[in-house]
Amino acid sequence: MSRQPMGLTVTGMDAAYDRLQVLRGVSLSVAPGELLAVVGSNGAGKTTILRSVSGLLRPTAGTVRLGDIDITTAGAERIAALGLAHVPENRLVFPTLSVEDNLVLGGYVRRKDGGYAERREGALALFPRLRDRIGLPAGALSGGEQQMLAMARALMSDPSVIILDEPSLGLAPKVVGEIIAALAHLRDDRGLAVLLVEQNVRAAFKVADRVLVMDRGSVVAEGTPADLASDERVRAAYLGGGSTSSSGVAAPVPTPSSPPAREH
Amino acid sequence: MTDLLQLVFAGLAQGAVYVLVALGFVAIFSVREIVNLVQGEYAALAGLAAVSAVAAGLPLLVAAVIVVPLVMGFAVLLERLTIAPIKHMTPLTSIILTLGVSTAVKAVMLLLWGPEAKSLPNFPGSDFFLGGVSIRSQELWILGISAVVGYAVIWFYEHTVRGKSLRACAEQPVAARLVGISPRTATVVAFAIAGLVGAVAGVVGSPIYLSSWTSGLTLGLKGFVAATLGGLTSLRVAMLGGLGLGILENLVAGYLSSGYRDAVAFVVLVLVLLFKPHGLAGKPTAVRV
Amino acid sequence: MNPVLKRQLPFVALLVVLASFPLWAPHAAVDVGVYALIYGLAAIGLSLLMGLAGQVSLGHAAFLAVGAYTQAVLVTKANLPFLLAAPISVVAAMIVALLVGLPLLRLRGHFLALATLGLGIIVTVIVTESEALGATSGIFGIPSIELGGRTYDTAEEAFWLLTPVVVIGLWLAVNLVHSRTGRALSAVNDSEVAAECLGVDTFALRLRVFVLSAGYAGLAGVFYAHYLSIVNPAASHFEVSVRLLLMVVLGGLGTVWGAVTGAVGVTLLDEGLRTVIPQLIPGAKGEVSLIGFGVVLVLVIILMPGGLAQLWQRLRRRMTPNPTMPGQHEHEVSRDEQRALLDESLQVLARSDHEPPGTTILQIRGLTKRYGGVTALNDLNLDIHAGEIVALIGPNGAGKTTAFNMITGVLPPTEGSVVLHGKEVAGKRPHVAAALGATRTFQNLQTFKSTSVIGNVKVARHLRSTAGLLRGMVLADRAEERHIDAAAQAAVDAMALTPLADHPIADLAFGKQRQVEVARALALEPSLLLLDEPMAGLSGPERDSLSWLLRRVKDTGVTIVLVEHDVAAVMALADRVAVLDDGKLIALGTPAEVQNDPAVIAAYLGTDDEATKAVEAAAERTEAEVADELTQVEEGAR
Repeated sequence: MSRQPMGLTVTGMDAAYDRLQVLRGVSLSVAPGELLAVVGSNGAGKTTILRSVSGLLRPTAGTVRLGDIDITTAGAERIAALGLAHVPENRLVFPTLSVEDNLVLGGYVRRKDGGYAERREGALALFPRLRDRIGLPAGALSGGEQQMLAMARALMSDPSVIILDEPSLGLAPKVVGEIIAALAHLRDDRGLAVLLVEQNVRAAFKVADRVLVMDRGSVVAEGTPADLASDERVRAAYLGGGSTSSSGVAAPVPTPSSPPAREH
Repeated sequence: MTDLLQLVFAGLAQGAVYVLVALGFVAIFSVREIVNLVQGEYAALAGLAAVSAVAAGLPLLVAAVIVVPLVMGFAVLLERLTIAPIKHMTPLTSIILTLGVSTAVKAVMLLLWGPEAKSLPNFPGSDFFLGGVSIRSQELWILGISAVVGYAVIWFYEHTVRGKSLRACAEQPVAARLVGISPRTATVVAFAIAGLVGAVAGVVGSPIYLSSWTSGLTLGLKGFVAATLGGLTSLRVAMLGGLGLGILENLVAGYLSSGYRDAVAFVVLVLVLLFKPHGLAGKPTAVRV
Repeated sequence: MNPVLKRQLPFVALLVVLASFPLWAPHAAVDVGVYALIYGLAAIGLSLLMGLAGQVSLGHAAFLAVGAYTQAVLVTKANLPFLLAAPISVVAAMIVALLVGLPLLRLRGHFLALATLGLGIIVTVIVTESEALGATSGIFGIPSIELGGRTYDTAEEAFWLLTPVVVIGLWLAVNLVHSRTGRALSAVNDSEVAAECLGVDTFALRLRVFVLSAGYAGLAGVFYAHYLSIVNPAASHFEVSVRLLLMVVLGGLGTVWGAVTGAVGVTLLDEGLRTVIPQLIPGAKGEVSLIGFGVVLVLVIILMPGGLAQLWQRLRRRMTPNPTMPGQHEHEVSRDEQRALLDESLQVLARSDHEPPGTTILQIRGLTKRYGGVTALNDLNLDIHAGEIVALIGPNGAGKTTAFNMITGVLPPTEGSVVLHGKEVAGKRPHVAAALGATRTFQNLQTFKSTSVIGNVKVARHLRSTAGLLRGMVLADRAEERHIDAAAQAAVDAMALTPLADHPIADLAFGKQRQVEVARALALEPSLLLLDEPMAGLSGPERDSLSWLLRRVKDTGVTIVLVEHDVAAVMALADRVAVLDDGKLIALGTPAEVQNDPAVIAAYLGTDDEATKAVEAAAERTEAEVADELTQVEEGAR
């Protein structure tokens, strides 16, 4: 599995659905061996960022680069072949196909390159639970197992960049922990660039190197988890109290636990 | 009793032809929600083309084989010209569209081959009797070839990467794109398969059931009925449906009246659509609001 | 000129054109013209079915055949005079449609199309096999039409007889399109779920139009029988159904006039091909003109799906000067103006029969939804009281929209009950709840794209008006239409959309379309208004306006339940807040109570071990102690 490590760079991206402007001037970058988390409430545009990056949606302005390659207008299939894997919201495993077949199709873009056995081993080593269910139809797996399968499937294309949309959605805390650990492994031991969209702020803060906070289509804050832990803007992005809303009540928000941070 | 067996066996052979046509509908619908009413015309076209090839001097089996890739190419060409340009395809739009295409194709066939029905000579082999039942060797050819081709199609969808990628395309179009499966390629492959099975049905059935510019319509519709039994997505149920339909038709024609033969398929169609529109398996979809 | 009178002009023009045609056209052309009129009449009915009701019938020739055969039998075997036999034949076709439609119309889209295809072929087989109907030879010797002592046996006379029939048929159909029934049908076509939630009983409507379209086809069959003097199975052939389909598609599905232009177009095409093709290709027979039909059908669908009507629209647009685009020259209403207008309008729309504040009007018990192994909503119990605003909040995937969809009848529950104003609505179609006074807006817009802003709002008056299909066709609904206009206008004014009232809704920005949905819901005069993420896609000022509006609406006695992600806006607006997480109700109380609830905070921001323990322990202790501990955690992290 020797791939040219590549990072992801997004500059000034706008995106829209029909007439609805969803993203405005979004910029971010993730280097190999780095995990960037994107947080923000619903409707903030987090999923749209991922869809615009992976080619499901064409940005109306700005650029997206995978390493040196400009993928702004490329289609999803080509971007997958170039080494970006997108684990979509709700997993979207192929339900009537077996776990094994899901993995086979995950490697679709590499099917002529050989090395299937190694890639398969690599994916299953990360999620051993899937081995027990290798012959079952993917639709029969539990939510957590489907999430693992979706991630394993994404790894089968031997990507340099992996982007994930709310992997913790609907999962029990223990399983979320396993997923988070797997993400850390992908970043540290495999050197992937990881872009993680999450609504579960604590989980995101635990594993991220840097965090991007979105609110209504724009980036409103950026920094390390420690920087943002007690930042007004994170709280506001979720529970209100921001400058453009009309209410004033702010709730006391327990900050995510993180290693003792510097004095402010 | 021999009458019954006779009718059943003949019905089985007729049904085998329906099976092939049904597989064509399922092959396409299971990749994209398109009801391809041109399916029957592939068969008529293949039959007529093979007849001309034989008339031009080619040996029977060579003609029969050559025609198949030609019709496959034709099916793909039609798809590129008429289906690919449509941006928002719904099953309903596909029906009207393919209706138009099949009408035009039929008229071209009328133009090139005239109104009379034609048939290929029988494939090698001789007819015989088995326990009082008359068996035509062509019927054995039909059953054999349909079985082989039918299982090859199923094998393709279940055991090859390309086949699985087509199924994935239908089940989760978004995720399929994300792993690099192109819906456009998938559609082309599906239409090629539809052309293949249609052509084989036309060629292998021609000696008994004849080929003409009108034969495609009823054949296509009957194959469609069989496919509907499988919800337009199950290959295996479509196969059983085709055989069952052939037998049922023959029994009705034999015991009631041959004129009602054609009505059988459509009565079955209406009943299936009424009671189990998603096929005998059943899989409802809902509007997301 | 009076607009209604102006609308009649095209019909007068058509009458004149048709009536004069036999005076100058050669005899052969008039003969062809008669066929065009006959098929055109059937096409008008099909156009209503396809264009207005959005249902494709690929076997419509079956109804033409029923009309033709019935007329043939009545006139030749029972010797009934034309005027007596004709209505019977038309009714016969309509009865067949009723019997067939009752089961078939529960199907949708392509299933229905294919079922009608099967139907057409079944009818062909029946008439071919039936000895009583002459089998393949059919019934012949049908005399020409005799009316008032005069026999109409030449092509010219038949043409003149058919002209008023076709023009009146068209007139009735166009009136229907503009009537209450027509609006409801068009709405169903655009968004069935939204129409249902506004009280439209889609099945009943569809069935009526299906039967009506069969009536048109049956009447065409009557004239067919007399003009050809023979009726045989060719009348029900698939090719006839295709011809009718092509007429409607070519003329344009969006308008009933398309049936007439399509009929002319197809007839010209047919004649043209019949003459041209044998010249180009020696030996080719008439049926080869089918190539032309097929190619034209394909080309229309690919290049010009709106048919000739679309072409006409493009021409008209080129000729009229550039209309102002919405959003460019909008007169922004000042806040005070807007608020005064709102109060006035709400008075127009206010019901007088709201329940006294505090009464429970919506009772949810044990509401559960399971999909296979996944439980999306688990045992929800909630009471909604008259005159309050309740917000339903919770993180993504919590089950809010599922709950909403079950309350409004869009989704059937796996278990549980929803009682609205004392009546059970769980598992019933949305129009049942709408009739009881509950309506909703949608998270992903469900506007009626093919009509204007005010057209959208008028549909909501469906339950407040009564004009049926027949009244609509003969224009006996004028007074009621004026009431509908006034109420719709009030709702549009209430939402400050007055300058945009006549704009096609598809041209509006997302936020504005959202507002139209709210206006539409208000126009129904609901007692319970359910809003699904009404703030999404709105700018800051727009959200403020909407909050203000909702408070005023509540003041008129309407109960409001909303699902929202904009927690800030909701906290200021709601009387009570219900918080869902992972399918369960985890908190219910005033906004202040809920915002301070540790379980709620945990649900939104996620938990990890330390904080979870803190939260769990907190459940045992007092508020003050909790506040202390949380402050310590905060400080510890610095």
